[in-house]
Amino acid sequence: MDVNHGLGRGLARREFLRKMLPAGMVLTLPALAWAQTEPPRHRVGIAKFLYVPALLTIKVGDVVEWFNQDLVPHTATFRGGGTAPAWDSGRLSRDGTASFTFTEPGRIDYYCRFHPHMVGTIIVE
Amino acid sequence: MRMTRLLARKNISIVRNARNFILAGCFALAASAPGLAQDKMNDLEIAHTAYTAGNLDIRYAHMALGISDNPAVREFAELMVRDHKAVNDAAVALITKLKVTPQDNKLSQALVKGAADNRTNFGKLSGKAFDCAYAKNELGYHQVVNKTVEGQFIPQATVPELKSLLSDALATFKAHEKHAEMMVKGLSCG
Repeated sequence: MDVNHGLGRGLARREFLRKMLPAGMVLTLPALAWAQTEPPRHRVGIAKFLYVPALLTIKVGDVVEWFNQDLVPHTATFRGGGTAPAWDSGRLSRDGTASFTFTEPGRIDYYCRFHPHMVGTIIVE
Repeated sequence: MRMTRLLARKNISIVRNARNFILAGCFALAASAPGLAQDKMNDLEIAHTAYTAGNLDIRYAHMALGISDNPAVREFAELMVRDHKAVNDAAVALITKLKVTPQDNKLSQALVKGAADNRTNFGKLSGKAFDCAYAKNELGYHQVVNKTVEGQFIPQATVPELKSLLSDALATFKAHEKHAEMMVKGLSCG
């Protein structure tokens, strides 16, 4: 019963919006709200055994996505320690991606677990 | 089709290259091996030899994983299995796309024979002797393969996709060479 009641209220609300607002606005408002809540994303390519860019500065709450363009698998791995997070992207095959949201300020040095000479840094402001 | 026309070219002499290349597979001579392919190879031969060299390195790695207890050696061997498989998978995807068959050649055959001889020698070793033999062979093998891929295969390849694949593979093999160098140093083989 409550479900029906709720549904009825929902329908009434939609009917109200349909009458009071131009159709375009009804469709656009939720999209705007979504866009405002999506955090900025930054992409780090992995190509020819390099992270590109190797040094990236972002804001707290931003998302970083690693994208492997090499033939061979790589990882992006943070060792953690102090307030720095520990994280491992897992095996990223060619065209594979993995992302991480940085919620604390600081400097994060990361590396490839398979090829430890590959290193990169994220500065979170 | 260019690849098909290349198949018809039979006047390729690579015996000397094969002999030189095989020296690179011998751990005792690897570091000083001068061998590079001197004569021109066609795309299908290049593809065959590059694939063969990768497969042979995977076989060396499996041998190391079966014999060595050294963590650095085992880590390197696991890397060779993972990376060379990925490169060879890409090669298979390319030849499947192009609908061609790589062409066996004397260099590939010599590599196979040399690697078999090396495995026989390695099989008689254990402990540090094996680790050093494997590590030195890997360093020498990658040094010579890299010189060959960079100096001969990439310039000689005519199919753009093959050229691109070889360039990507070279970046991988150069990373392996660096890693092998560190492994040899770390093992203090003398």
